[in-house]
Amino acid sequence: MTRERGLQSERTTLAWQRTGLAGGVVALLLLREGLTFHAPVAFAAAALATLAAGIANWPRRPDTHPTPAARLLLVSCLVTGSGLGLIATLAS
Amino acid sequence: MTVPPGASDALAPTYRGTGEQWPGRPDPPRLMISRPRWQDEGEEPDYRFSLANERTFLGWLRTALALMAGAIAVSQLVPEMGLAGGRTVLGAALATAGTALPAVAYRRWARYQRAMRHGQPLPPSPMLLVVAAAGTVLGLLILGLLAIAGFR
Repeated sequence: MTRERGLQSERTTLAWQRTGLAGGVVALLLLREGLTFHAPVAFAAAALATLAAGIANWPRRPDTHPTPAARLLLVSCLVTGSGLGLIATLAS
Repeated sequence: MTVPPGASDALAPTYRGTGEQWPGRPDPPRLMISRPRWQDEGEEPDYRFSLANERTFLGWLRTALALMAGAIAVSQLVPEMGLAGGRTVLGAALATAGTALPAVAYRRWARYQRAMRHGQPLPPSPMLLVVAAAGTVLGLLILGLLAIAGFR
């Protein structure tokens, strides 16, 4: 295996970090929603978004390996779950 | 590693992690989530293409998160517009779009990765068109609500 000499891996790591930051912002907004409207579902959604942000910010292997499918799937599921919680909060 | 003839199953742990096949035993069950079966098909594409596909997936994920943030902002910050419940409908529409996007983005990533492994052209994706159309509809909805609020 050849080690990554270009910037592709770094760009991908930065994209993960941006996604993590976006997830963190959504988690904070959901937390505010829960505190404002006393909605427990919003707290659960905020927890899922926080988990997604944590996984997205977790360091990836700094080489040519693409990220395992499990990580992509897990983050997708967590964001979807967070969105479902948001819909439930808005509907209540 | 050679397996002694007539060896019992008790020796099976010896072979764990060695990458060698335990004769006469089926392959251990694999977790489809950790490594989908299609990742063993075809050939590993150029890592630059795989990483570009991954970044595109992340771009869609951020779009979903932005839609969700927009939904929360609408529900918390925007004053009630012309129609009663208009704000809720708008927020729910944004939240629904943000909820659906990650699943679609993962499926799209997997389809593209599979196509690259088989050396096939990337399959067409209607995602851009759908999201653009949904954004236009939402924009028109906002304009309509503002117009109704202005006339009152």
